[in-house]
Amino acid sequence: MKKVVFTLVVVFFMGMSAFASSADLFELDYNSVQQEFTELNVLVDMVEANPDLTYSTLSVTDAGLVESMSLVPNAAMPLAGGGAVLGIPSFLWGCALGIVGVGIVYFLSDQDADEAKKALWGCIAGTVAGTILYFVLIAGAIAAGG
Amino acid sequence: MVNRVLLVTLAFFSYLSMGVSQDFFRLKTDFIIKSKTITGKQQLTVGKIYYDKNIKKLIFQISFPEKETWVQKDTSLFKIVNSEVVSRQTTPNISELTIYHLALNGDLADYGLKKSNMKIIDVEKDGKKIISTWAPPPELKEVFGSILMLNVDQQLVGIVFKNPEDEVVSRQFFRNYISINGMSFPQELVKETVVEGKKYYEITTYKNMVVNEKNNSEMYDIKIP
Repeated sequence: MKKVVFTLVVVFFMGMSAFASSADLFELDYNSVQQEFTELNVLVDMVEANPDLTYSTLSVTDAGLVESMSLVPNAAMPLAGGGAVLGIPSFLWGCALGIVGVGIVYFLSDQDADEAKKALWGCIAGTVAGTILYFVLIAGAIAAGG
Repeated sequence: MVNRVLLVTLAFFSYLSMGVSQDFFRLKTDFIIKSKTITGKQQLTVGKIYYDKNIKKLIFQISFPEKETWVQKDTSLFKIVNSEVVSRQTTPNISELTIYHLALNGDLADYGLKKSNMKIIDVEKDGKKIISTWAPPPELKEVFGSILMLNVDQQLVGIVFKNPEDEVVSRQFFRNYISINGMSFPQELVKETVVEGKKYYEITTYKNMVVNEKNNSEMYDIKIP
């Protein structure tokens, strides 16, 4: 009986510890993330107060602000951003989808050449791996046939 | 008398079932995207999104940084400025992968993974919190890692993307859900991307959401000039 109780307790705590370790992956210091966007929040207030404000007009009327913020002149697509398009790293896009993947990364990462380059390396790696696999299979088929 | 009671009961339950299976087909929302690029630059995008899941055209009416309209349909993205197409690019057909389509179809809670070729391999539960782990099909295991999802009260709260080496490459957090005519949608989406060990963030805020707008139909099916 004691053994059964002990086993149940061990299983329970193992389950709890597994959940805790997975749950840690979902921890986010939201306040610190928000602090990163303090400058942009000021700009958001300006844009909301003046719906006609654009990057072009702002760079004329307040060039200092545009420069100090290192503001990007183009828009982001509300689908993806940063280094991992749709949550998938650029290299893998290239590896999995070849040149199409490079295109996806180049477009969806707002024409980010660095990301496209990573995808291109993935494309090359995928092609090389595919070619090697092809020759291995052909050689295997010849050997089996001969 | 019995027949009347039966009729009223039937009518009541059919009314309830109509309410439960209400069809959401259109979403309009204001959005603000704040992001920081790997090169240290800052990016702000402000505008409106119009999406009708039957038309499958993603319409982005952008007001900042510049006033332009982007129309994504099938594998093309048109950028329109002053009623003229200024560029056309070939893109993957992504409309059905967006949270707008998933929310309208009631698939946001599982990020559409149930209908994908990902397979659920583990489920952990702690009170109202459920963490599920999804694995890619065997042929893609060397390319893609697992995906972990955190659901609370049947709402998607977080999603973690891993590489095949089991390292986290990206996380997304869906915050402050709101119910619009019964459709649940987050008011904020925080994306974290890990590049060479460094974390980069993007915050998308949604507000003034409208579901199943009856008027303004032309905005959901903008004709390409």
